[in-house]
Amino acid sequence: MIESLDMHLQDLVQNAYSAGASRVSVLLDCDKAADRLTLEVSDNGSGMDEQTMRAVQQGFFSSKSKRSVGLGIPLLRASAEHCDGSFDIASRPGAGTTVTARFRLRHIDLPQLGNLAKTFLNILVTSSGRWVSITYRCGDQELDIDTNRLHEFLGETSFQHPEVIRFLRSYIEEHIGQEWEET
Amino acid sequence: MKLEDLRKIRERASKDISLRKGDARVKVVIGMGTSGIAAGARDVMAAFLDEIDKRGLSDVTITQTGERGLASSEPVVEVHVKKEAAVVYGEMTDTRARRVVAEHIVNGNPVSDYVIEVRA
Repeated sequence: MIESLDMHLQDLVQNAYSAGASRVSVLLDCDKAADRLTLEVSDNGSGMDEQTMRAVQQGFFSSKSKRSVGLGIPLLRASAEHCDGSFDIASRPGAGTTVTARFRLRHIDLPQLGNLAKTFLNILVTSSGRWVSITYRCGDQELDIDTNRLHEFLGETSFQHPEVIRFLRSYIEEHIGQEWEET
Repeated sequence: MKLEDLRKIRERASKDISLRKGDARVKVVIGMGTSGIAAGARDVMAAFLDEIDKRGLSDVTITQTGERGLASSEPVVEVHVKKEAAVVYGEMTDTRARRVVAEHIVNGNPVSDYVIEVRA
């Protein structure tokens, strides 16, 4: 079951990658003053028509006809709405998709953030030529990372080079204040 | 830490040409559809990345893919070693992923306990 926000984020980004996006932006913002947590993933992938959007939000839908799963979106929607928040999908065929989930930050059932460092690292190292940006703001922690900037410094060096993986992991942890979970 | 520090890594990494040429010795493909993630694929990917870092493996690439139609065995991971048959592993975990790195990717012996398919 997908419950924590780090898992939802990984799922939303996978959806964007599967939709053929070349540009993906991820936002996770905790606004204490407004008592709101916002999770947003925006892409320039294939997008959806209205009928598909309705099906996606109801669940048991997948654009891959062989499989009829796809419960990630309805679970996120239910969770956001339960937490006095809101859920929106804006999409048009050929014009990409933006998924926005808002939660009341102090709601007792607010999903756990989970291990965001793992998800952010996974997203970056599998970006594979896509332009992916991640913005994270919670309290005094802030992370702003963008694959185009990484390429400026790395040239043709792969994001999956062991030293790059190590660097990115430490960089992410330093900026979001989350320890890598050792198992 | 500064992103500028990546320049130094770039200089050191310039000797490792296999990844730059997109010609890695080993390709690992992880099923990251919704059901894969729900079954733990996110942590499996993180474990592979952690082992690549710890062991300094500069000839391995990790890619993700959507649903694979093997839902009952998720998380599912394919390991493609150059010039060898692709091996599909099922019900992967963090610990199992690390064992696959050590035994299959480094030492060349597929971990038969977790194999669900071999593709010639």
